[in-house]
Amino acid sequence: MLPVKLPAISVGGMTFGSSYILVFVASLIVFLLLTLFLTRTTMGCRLRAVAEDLIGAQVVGINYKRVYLYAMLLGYLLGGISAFLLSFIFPITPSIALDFITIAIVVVVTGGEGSFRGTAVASLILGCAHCLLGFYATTEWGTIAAFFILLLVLLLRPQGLFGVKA
Amino acid sequence: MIKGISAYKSLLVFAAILTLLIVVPMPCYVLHILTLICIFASLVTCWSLPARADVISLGHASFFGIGAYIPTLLFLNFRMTPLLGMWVGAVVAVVLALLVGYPCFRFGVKGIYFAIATLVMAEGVKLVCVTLRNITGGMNGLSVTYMGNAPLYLQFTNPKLYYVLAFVLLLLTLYVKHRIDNGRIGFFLSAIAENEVAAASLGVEVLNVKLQTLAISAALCALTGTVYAQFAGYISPPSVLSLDVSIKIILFAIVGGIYSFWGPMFGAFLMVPISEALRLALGVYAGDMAWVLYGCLIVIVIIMRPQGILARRKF
Repeated sequence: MLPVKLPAISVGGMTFGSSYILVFVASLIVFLLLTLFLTRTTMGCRLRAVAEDLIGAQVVGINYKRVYLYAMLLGYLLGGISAFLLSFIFPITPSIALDFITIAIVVVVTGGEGSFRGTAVASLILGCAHCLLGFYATTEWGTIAAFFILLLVLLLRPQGLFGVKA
Repeated sequence: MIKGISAYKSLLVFAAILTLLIVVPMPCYVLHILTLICIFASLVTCWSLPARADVISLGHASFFGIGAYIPTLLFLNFRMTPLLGMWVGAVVAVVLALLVGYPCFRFGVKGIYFAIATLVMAEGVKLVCVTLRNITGGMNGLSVTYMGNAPLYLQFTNPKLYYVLAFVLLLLTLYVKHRIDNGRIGFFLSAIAENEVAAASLGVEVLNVKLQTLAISAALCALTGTVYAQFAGYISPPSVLSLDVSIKIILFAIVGGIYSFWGPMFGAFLMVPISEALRLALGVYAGDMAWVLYGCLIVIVIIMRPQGILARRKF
């Protein structure tokens, strides 16, 4: 699939194929770029301002409709990129999207809406829970566990792990 | 509500029309679609009961699926007639609704968060069903053993009787909705939708009212599920438990008008034939094109009539 052959890496008795490493590194880069975009560029700052306080953002002259447009575009772009990355390690079918969208929603809500750090931490926690249970039980139980974690988080901290209380 | 009596009258007129349809001879396929419409109309009406208090659930597929699976399992394993099994299914659905509803309402999980909690519930139920392969058949689903004409087992050789079954269920759902909308609970629900804190301060038991409505809705959904299982003869996680079902229900309700009495049902009457017609025109595999049309339709409706085609003022 790749023109360049990358070696597999073994860490502590576990072997990671080159595609996994590629995806991991690529998603880290995307994550970094997104952080830079949100903190260093004007549009990123506008986006965060609108997320924090819509009326306040309008008062200081931010065209929120444009910001919404950019946020949507950015979302679609990232969705496309992650789909591309996923295609390296998952078989793809026309109806696979819904499963991943469900997991994405679970991760975002667990991490806290609007919290970038939260999303990262939540995806780590849920991913680990998913994989470990998938290893010791079955994959379905892994997903059920992820859902259960979300329900717990919703009950105990409705705003999410890193969310700010409304 | 002043219009209470006229709503009752229109309910009777509607019942009369559907009853007349039984007498009129029609092709099997039309009958099939009519039955499907009645089943979906009943589902959407169930869903709209708690939606009145802005309790938006994305997980009604799980109640529907439980109602389809449990009586079928009881029938296949213990030869229990679905006439009894449907009530077991309804009870299980109510228990699930209370299990998820109580903590959510108690700890103030509202709006989009409640929707996500129910979505996760539905996906969880689906996954459990897929995992317990040796009981539920997993992704292969279950077939209801054909017994010929056995009214005691809710199996008929005459397809018209399935229509009658679905139609009686739809009437039951509409009657319940009518009673709730025009009774005390209806006013409580409206008050909660308007302002929960204010409603609570005036003595509305928010938690109880929400839970009751959700439980009623879950029970009726489960009964619909049983009828669907008997009618279709085959159930599988994608057909009764998947997110598609929940989304379809909400789509129909939004197009018809969530807050009106006839709206949710009207949505089903409008949208089910569309998907069937597309399936006829494009074939089974392109039948999913219905979703595209649904998407366009819902955008148009939201732009032209944000409260749904048969909208009533949210009061």
